[in-house]
Amino acid sequence: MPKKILVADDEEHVLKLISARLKANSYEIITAIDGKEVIKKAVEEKPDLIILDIIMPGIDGINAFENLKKTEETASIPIIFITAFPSEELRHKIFELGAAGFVSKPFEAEDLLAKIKRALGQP
Amino acid sequence: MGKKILVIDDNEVDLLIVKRYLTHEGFSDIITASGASEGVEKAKTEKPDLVISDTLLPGSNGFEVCRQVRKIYGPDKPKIIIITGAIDAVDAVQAKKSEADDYCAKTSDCAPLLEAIKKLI
Amino acid sequence: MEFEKKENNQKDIVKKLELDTIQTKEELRKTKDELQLQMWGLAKTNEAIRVLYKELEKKNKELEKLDQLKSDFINSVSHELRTPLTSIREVISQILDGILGETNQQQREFLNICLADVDRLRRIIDDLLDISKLEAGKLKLSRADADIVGLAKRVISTFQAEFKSAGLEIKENFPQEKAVAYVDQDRIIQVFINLIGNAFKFTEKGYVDVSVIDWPGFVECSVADTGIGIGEEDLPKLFGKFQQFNRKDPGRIKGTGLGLSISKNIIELHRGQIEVESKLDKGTKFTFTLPKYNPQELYKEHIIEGIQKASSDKGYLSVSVFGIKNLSQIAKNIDNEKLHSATEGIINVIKKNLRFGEDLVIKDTHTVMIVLPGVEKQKAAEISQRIYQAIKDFLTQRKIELDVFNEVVSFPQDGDSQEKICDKLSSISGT
Repeated sequence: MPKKILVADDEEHVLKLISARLKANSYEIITAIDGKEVIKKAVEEKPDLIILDIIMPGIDGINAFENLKKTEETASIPIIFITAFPSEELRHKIFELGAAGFVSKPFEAEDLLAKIKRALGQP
Repeated sequence: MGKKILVIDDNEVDLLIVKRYLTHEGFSDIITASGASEGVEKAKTEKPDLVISDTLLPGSNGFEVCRQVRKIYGPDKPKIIIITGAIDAVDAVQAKKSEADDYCAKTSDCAPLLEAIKKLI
Repeated sequence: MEFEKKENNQKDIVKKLELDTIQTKEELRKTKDELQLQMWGLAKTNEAIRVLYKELEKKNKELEKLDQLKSDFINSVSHELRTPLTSIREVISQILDGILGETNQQQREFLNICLADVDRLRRIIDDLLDISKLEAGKLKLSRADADIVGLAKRVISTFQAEFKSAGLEIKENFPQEKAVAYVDQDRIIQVFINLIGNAFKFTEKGYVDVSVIDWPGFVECSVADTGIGIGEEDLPKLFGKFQQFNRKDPGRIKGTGLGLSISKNIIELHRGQIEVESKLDKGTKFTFTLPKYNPQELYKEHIIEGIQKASSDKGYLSVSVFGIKNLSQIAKNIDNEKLHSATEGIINVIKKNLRFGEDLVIKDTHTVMIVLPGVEKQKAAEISQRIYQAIKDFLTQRKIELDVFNEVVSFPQDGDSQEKICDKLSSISGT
């Protein structure tokens, strides 16, 4: 059964590109355009992994993350952050929160794919 | 305000700053000089109500300028203020001894200078 | 006759006294005037000093604001630049990987050129961010004991292929198998990459020699090449920003012009030094030093300066101290090696549970101190409890019969001055 990944980013073309890349690697893709949608779809679709952009309008990535972890149905889904600005403080915060990892923009596809594999417990 | 002010300083930027703040205060008649002899000359010809001079001038100093102006005009007029970027108690005493009316620090907002001027003219 | 003489004498004496008195009064008056003058001068000076002091404070606040603005600006610019690069890179990468259909040789060749330039832009943005943080003194190092020979070897191996295809040799000069210094590994790797990369760029034939030497107190590294060298006039500008000389890189990786400036900043942040020697057409040699772990220096840097900063910021700082109970007695009964490995194990557990800020762990002779800047007592106690539990689990798991104690000393709750805090700390650690 192909693994299901929920990708959230406020930019349509980034969503399109990541979806194309992940589909080419045999993952099933659902997308969300903001924090609110990602929470809704996570509860509905129960993906195996979530990729979350940090800066999004409305509920931003960090807030969405905390929300997802508090909600019973979504608490155990591993989450990988994408950020355009990997400052030291952000790195610490990401570790503190217990995210499964992060990639910084512009990311290298091999890097993202490797991190996804690791988060899903795949070899 | 109608009062004529002569400012003597060899540093162009400092001269500009003082001029700008004086104009802002309403003084429109401002003459400048960049050296001691030029300063004393202009004091003689322009007959200012107030002379403001820097302590350090090429080849001379503000105290010398003060003494010479006093020689020309006497102890009461014009009013003379000596300003400096390097405040010093010994210089302050020398300013008084050269018969200046006041001695103050140069700051970027000219506040001490303007205060001193208000008290004198 | 004698009587008159005496009277005249007396009159003279009185007259003289009168004159003396008048003179003295005159001198006193002059002195009083002089004193008043001096007091006026002093009062003027004091007044001026107060004014200048206020001006200094105002300028300082302005500078702080400007600094923050500059920092915010650079952060948002870097964010704005990275975002479009993301799509550009991913599109090119997907075309090259065949996800979007077939491509011919020429298309792939040109697209690879594009990809290389996107990555170069990314490096420039990273470098710009680095240099701005370094110059603002805001770059934090994450230091630990590291084997510099190992780091150098790692970097050299990533260059092997390039050197081979360019017909150049990399020589290794490591008189000792290991050379341990207290450094931020990633940053030192960055320095080696920069220096070896430069050497590679500017050497047409011959070799690049990388050496790491262990000295008492510091580790000395150097990267030397037989390349085109740098002219005397250019040497002083070498570590400046955006300096690129002899731009005749034939198809090799282009630099950002910031590498040496960043490297110098990194070395100096480690309290090391970097120097360059060069002769046109003969070659260039960069030498830098890295300091070794010094608990006293670290104590001073993190705790003393940390408390001073907390004091002026009106913030907090906590130090969580872990030690082995009854160490002196235990040391007699337990094997030294076992004790050492147990202590190392405990330190690893601590570092793993901190997840970051590993260089805020200071190992003293009897205790391990964790510096937690900005953390007040309650929170520090929670963090310490978590770590304490982890240590206990570790000791139980390994069947090590040691008991560990923990105490938290916080500023300003446990002491409102740096001396009081340090006193408390030394009484705990028994130093």
